[in-house]
Amino acid sequence: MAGIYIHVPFCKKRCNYCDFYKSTHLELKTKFLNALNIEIIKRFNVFNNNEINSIYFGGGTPSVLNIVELNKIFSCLYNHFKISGNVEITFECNPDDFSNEYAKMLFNETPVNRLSFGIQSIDNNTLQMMGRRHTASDGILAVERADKVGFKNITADLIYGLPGLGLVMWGKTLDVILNLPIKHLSAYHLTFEKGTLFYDNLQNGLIDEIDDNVSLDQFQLLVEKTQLKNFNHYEISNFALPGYESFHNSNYWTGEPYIGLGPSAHSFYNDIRQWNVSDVNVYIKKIINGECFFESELLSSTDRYNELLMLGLRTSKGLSVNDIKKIDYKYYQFFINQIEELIKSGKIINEGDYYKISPSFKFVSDGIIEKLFLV
Amino acid sequence: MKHIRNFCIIAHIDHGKSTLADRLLEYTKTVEGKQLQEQTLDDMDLERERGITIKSHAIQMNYEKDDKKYTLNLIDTPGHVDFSYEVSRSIAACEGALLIIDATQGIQAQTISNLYQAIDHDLHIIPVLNKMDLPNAMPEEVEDQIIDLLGCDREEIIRASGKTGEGVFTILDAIVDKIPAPQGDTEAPLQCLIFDSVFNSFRGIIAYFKVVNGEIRKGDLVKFFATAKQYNADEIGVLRLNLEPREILSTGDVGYIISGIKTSKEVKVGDTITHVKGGCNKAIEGFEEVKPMVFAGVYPIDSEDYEDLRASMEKLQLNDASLTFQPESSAALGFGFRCGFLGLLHMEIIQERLDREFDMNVITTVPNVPYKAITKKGELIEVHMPSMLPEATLLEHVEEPYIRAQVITQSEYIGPIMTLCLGKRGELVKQHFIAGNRVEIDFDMPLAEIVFDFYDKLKSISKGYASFDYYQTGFRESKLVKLDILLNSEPVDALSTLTHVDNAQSFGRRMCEKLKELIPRQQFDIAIQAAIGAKIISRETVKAVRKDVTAKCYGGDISRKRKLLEKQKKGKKRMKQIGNVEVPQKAFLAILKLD
Ligand SMILES: Nc1nc2c(ncn2[C@@H]2O[C@H](COP(=O)(O)OP(=O)(O)OP(=O)(O)O)[C@@H](O)[C@H]2O)c(=O)[nH]1
Ligand code: SF4
Ligand SMILES: [Mg+2]
Repeated sequence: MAGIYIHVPFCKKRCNYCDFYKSTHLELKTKFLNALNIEIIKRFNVFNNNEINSIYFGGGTPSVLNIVELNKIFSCLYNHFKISGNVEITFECNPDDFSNEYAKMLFNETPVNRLSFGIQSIDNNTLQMMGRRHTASDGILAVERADKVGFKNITADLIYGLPGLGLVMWGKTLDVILNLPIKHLSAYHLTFEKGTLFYDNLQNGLIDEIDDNVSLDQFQLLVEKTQLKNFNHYEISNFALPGYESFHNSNYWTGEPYIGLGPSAHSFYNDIRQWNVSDVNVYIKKIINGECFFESELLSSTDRYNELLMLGLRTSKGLSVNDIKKIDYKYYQFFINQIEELIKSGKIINEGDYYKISPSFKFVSDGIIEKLFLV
Repeated sequence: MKHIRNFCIIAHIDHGKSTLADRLLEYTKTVEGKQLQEQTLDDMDLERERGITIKSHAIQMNYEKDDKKYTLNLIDTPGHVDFSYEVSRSIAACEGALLIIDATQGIQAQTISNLYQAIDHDLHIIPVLNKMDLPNAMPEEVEDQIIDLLGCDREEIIRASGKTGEGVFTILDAIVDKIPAPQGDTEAPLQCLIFDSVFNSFRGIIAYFKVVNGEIRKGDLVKFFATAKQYNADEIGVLRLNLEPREILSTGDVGYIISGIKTSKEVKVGDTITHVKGGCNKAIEGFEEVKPMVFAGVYPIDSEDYEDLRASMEKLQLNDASLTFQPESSAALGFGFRCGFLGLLHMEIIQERLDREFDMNVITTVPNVPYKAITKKGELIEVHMPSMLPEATLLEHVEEPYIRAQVITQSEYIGPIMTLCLGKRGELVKQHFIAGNRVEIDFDMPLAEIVFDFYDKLKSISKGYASFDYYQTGFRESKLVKLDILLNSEPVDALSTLTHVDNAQSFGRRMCEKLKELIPRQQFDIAIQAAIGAKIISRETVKAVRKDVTAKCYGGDISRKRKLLEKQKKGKKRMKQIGNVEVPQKAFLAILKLD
């Protein structure tokens, strides 16, 4: 199995916290789509006969594409890759692009079968502070509309740990969102990333990071409320109803190969991680001129061991020692030596071949993972 | 012999000794073209990076004057007070000295202390006013100071610049004209004074010496007085930029000998070399042994590296005989070594050299000066670490080392400097004006008080206009207590200190505050306490981390995050686990930077 990620690098407006690569020059859209086509033709054969089980349109804002443009991409993908019959095709939508008409066409005229809405908050003041271009009701309406036209696999994104977001408001947000017809929720704690307005404001003392204890309270509320609704907390920031865990995300965490197309997209196959240039102009130019448009690195076996740990331990299923042994027996020995103390102190739970971080320590998992790292 | 001149360059730190040496090497065509760098003689990486000289460097030059060819042996010396013993050794191999004074700074503490050493050895002094190219040079004013100090004529002072080369030929001429040729008797039995030794991994120990009497030839059978061991002079030669072998070295010459010596213990700087057959029967008066001023424990961060650390220290010692060490163990840190250093800069340099030359990551514990404990039974115990202090019931009294400190500053800073030194248990000995508004203030002070955070304070209260030199004067009775630090109620022996009873309270409080700053938050609360005996005198808490998790971990985040965690983990490798607390390397030296 393998996955495809397509980065649509355009946003109508920049959000204040977001460091994804995006451009506001939507006039480059056509040229970008041409280049994307060429990239697919250049790279499809990396997977040989690997079946594609997930296609994911992320961004940026994929919903800046119209249905004709989208279908052109699909025909190119279907022509070149071997795509599984029950492929999961996720499409990220900005709530305010999601008109009734767009919703219907997306459902009826494209193979998209899963929608992801960046709702982020149900508080208009918060949305405004974040620089989002939609309102709270836009977000809620979009999900309802998607459900109405027939999408049965919908996921929403939320952000917590925001300056000024109180526990009460966060609880209310979760109540509202979990009552919508969604099957999956991604909830991310705010991080201050370089190059964003939030980061600059933080540096200049215009906003403050919230206290650890408040963060933890919000995380715990998130875990409780999703649990009550039968969502499975299958990764630190991801929750799904049984059977609705995202194929796309899981591919990342289980080490399946994936190819990332478009500017700034990352790929991983044959132990090589590769990333395309993070500039749509340069991307287009290099592709057209037949120049190299990416950088790559070969992962050493130690890199792979570290990644396996890092990704595996973030999931509720945990990490299988068999996968460690597959890299090299010496990593297994190292792991077993280190793990004892973590089990004793209650940070790690061991069930058969699997090891996972115990629920009460999930919010400090980086420190635990780091302890097991080999450098 | 008539055409040899042996001289050293002495000065206060940073007054431009090494840079002026560059010009001498250049103008005498000893070093040319690409080989000539800035501070060419500072050949250790660490010297180059820090821009300071740590070791003396000897080099031979040729110079022609009035159609006569002269051999000039130059020794560049360090200016920092920790390495003043290097200066004293170099002086012993010379008949003259260039006393460099920075024309923008004037006379400073080490100008005076190094000058006195040179005068003690009857060296001819050539005063050089350096950095004349700088716009803020104050030649007249500084010349007045020099005249006051040396009692020389204004005309004898050479104005020069290591940057532009101004005055360099005047200096070379003065070296030839004014510095006496070495004396001695070529016919007399061989006597060579060893003034330095270095270790070379291919060739073993190389000893540098000056022939005081007689002649030495390649292949001669020689003996070293101190050890009475005999060697073949496999190779002798002179010190150019590289070693240049010679067949014979004669009275007055400065050179090197390679004789298959493998360990530094066999070569004592200050020792005399003579012939086995027909040699002299008296050694030249050597040097006083350098005594460590501070002691500290040095421990590998990873206890498995103990043997490697020993090997590395032994290698370092080959090049730096002033480093002493012996095994010790600590409940907190495991096995390590108690090391003696010449001062804190020396300690810092050893730690850095261990890291970069041997890839040894070490923890250095809180340093302390050597105390003397006298027990009721009348035994004398040298206390090199807090745990060696006998119990109060067994103890008659404790003595601590004192120094004479000489501070040179401008009159407007006398007040704050007095306050600082008296606050550090100093006693004013004398105060006198040097020239203009420059004063020298002498204090008797406990060595312990200047080891910790004295330099920085002196610098900041005098805005840099104070320099400082000291020498040890003896021991005095003192009231000391042992201050312990506890992490989560466990005493950490490596953080214990001996301190004067009057300082203990504030010291404990400041230690706790500083450690709170330096120990990173971990997955549990960490209590930091200071205690004297069973009495807790101060407490701080490092709160547990509640949140330590990356929100997103998809495509591009993966390698970024892996690298971040790897970097953090590497950082932690530099931390020591004590109980379950990770303590960073620098926390052990917290004491040195208390506010
Ligand atoms: N402008 C100017 N700068 C100089 C001159 N001589 C030295 N310097 C600078 O002063 C600094 C110290 O010079 P060094 O030659 O390293 O001084 P030093 O006396 O050998 O120092 P230590 O060996 O550490 O005591 C360096 O930055 C030099 O570039 C000079 O004549 N003119
Ligand atoms: S959050 Fe989404 S819409 Fe906002 S700038 Fe980032 S990619 Fe664009
Ligand atoms: Mg120097």
